[in-house]
Amino acid sequence: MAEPTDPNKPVLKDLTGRIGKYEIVRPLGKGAMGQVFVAHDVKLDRDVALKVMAAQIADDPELKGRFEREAKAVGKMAHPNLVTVFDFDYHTDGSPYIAMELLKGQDLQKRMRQPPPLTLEEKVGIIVRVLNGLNHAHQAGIVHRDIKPANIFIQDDGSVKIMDFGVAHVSAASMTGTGNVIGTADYMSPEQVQGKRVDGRSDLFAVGCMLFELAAGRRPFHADNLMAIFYKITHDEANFDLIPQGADHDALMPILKKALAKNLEDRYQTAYEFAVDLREWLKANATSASTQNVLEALVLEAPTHAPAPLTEAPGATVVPEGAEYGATVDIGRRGPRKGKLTPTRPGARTAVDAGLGATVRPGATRLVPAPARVPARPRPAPKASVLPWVAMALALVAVGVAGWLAWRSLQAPPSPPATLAAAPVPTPPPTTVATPSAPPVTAAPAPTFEEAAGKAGAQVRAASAAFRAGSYDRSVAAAQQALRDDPENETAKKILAQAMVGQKAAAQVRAADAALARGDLAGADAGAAEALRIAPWDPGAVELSRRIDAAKLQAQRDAEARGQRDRAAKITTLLTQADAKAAAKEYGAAIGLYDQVLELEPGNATALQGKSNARTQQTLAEANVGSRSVAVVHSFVPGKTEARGTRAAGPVPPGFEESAGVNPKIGETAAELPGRILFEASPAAPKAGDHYKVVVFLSNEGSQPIQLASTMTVVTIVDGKRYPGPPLTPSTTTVAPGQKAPVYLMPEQIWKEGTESWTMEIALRTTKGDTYTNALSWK
Amino acid sequence: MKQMLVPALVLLILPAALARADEPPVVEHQPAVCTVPEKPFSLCAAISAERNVATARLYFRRAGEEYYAFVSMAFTGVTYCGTLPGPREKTKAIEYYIQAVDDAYQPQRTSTFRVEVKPEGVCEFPPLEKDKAKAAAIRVVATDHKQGRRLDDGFDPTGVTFVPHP
Repeated sequence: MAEPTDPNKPVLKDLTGRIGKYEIVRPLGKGAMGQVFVAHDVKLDRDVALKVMAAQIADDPELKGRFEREAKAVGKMAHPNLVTVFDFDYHTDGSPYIAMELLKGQDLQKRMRQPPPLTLEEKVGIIVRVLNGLNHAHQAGIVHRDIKPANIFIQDDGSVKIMDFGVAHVSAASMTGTGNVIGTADYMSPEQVQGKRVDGRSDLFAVGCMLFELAAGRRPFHADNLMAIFYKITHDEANFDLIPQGADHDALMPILKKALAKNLEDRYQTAYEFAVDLREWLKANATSASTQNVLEALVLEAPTHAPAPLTEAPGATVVPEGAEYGATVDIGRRGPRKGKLTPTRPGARTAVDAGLGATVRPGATRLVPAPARVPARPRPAPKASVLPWVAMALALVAVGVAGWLAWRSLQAPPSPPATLAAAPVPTPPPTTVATPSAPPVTAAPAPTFEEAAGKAGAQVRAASAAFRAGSYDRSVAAAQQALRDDPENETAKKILAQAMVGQKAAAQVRAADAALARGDLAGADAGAAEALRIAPWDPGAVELSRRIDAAKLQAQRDAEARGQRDRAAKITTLLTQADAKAAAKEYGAAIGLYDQVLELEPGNATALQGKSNARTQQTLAEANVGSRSVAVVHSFVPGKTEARGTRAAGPVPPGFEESAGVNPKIGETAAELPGRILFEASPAAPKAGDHYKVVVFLSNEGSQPIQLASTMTVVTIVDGKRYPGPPLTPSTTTVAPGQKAPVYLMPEQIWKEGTESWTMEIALRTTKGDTYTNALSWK
Repeated sequence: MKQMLVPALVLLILPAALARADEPPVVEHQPAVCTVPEKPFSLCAAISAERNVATARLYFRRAGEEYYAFVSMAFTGVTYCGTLPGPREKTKAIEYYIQAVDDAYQPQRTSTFRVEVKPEGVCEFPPLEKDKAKAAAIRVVATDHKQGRRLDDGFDPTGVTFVPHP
């Protein structure tokens, strides 16, 4: 099948994008923390709403962790009035996503504005079902915190679902860093505005606000600006005069007043109580058969315990922002001092979201709300008093924005990955013996003799020639003959004396030569030295001295080679023992053995890697013991390099070169090839959400450079899925002997939650045709 | 009986294995919804395959244009990422898709997605390229000679090398 050449023409096989097992159908909308798609579950063949956290937010482990905790908590709830979470998983870039029930209909906010108008009993019926869902959630210890008409969904069949459970918290948190809309302020409870502890009763206040809005057509605490809304929420009574006159509305009034009580203790304590009162109202006031049917079908769960409050959320600060259809808020992070506004930053804990992660199990003891850390400022209610609040808020916002900008300016942009130069390992001790520093032995000037004449002249010349030739016996004999002919010949006397010295030196040389032949380097050396002392001009002594020096050098080399072989054997033994100790989880002993190897060979790559792994495992083991955890800790474990060479095995018999089945190449064993693929992974034991990276090295343990081919292969296998790379160019093309050099740097990735298996396979080829493979596994 | 068992197993397993190897790569991608003007942005996808991936490309065009251009996507260990030039302010939207080809020339591509270009602040999570080196070395390849010799003026050519269609 060929690749389509014209990308501008429609491709027949136009597949959709995928996230996990979901095929993206179309965008549905976007929330504060990411995007929502209509997606198709290809395995179960159903459409879902897929909410994917934006990768930019997923980078923040705190936000991500909160998203995960909440998604998991909500996922455990199953109730007809709560949107159902089908699935929770992670995209390959680490972003979490939630697959949810795909709802068909419209949200309450839109429904309220569309004809035909809802009847009061329809409105109350919706609220009862919302309370039914909240009752279930509160019993599970989950507070919604962002109950508003836009989060209530009315399906085409009339059923009611609460949406954005838990995610709303994440939305709030995420928005603190970006300064965008996080929700409407009109439905916030007094304790939320004041930054006090928040529990399920805050949701009930929000439901009271919705009920008021449904009944009156206006929000109970709406005002033109945010601070005025907050003031109204914390100080003013809702304007109940807006509720239409009539018996049915009058009967609703006590319920509304109780729901909107500023004091927590005066408010409905549970969604169940609230729902029961409304159900009674419906029983008394509903006239339509459909509402009666709803009532009959509605099964309220009586709470088995008080709704569990969440953790303290102090230090709330409010920052006006743009409006969606009402005023909106951004909630800054907890300030360093009480009541002080601080700039926000991504990932900061917020007043609203601070407790999101800590859902309290049913049956937990109710916590008494603590005093607000940012005290509400009780003032008389005249409208003029709102202005100072607004002015102060704006001033503080300016300070906050300035601080935020300052904080942002301090955030250095992410550095590009450091370019890894070849990283030489410490140079091992020299493996060859240096040439002796002493200069080579040279002969001293030989004695010279005067020209001879007269009747002994011929004998003197013969003696002199024999002397120069090193034939001392013949020189002595000729000199003696010359002296017999001419007893006073001074030249003959000199030649005789020197030739007799030469004879002695020659005797020493012969003895030293014999010692050298026996391998007695010391005896030979001493004899040669004596010969040179006697006759430094003697060429025989000089030549012997040179041969002795060469023999000494060779002996030294032999000794070094033996030492090296012994050391290599010892290193092999120590590494074997160390690996065995590490396998037996005796990490201390293993580290000691690796250290011994490193003393013998400071740059031994296997020992360095082994020691590093053993240390990591030791730390993890200690951490496990410390926490008495029985959880299995996974970490990166490098494999062993497999090498395969393709050098010629020997001459191919003539005529067989092209014969089928005859392979003139033969593989070599790994031990014969000097390359080792090593890994450096950090952190050694990544957890979900951790950023991790891997650097792959090639270590050359041989004596010749390794030249790498232009391409290498990297395949990552995650949970059985192969993610192969294209042919990649190694970072280094030549690795010098005794060095290790980076060949591949995997950019930082986010460790995916729920990863069960992870392996990175590396294959390197050399220009000679050798292949090295190794794998890094997470076990 | 045992002699029959092995061939039977081979016959059962082999077609499945061959079928798997014949499947084109699978492209997993979270579509981008919006980006901001004048800033290069990056799109990534995870590409799994039984065979090796030969190449992965990110095809893009200004919405309304006839022809696509492409940038090669670089392997990052698991995912493939490509950097696109920053759109001009006048550019309303960009259309793109990702195509991967394995070493048996089996192609696979995503749907065509649309990225709206919105002002900063309005687009909350633009997938901006954080790596300045990558943003400064974008190689855009034309797919048709009618695209001329310069990058479409709907995009900022800063840091872009444009390769005309031969």
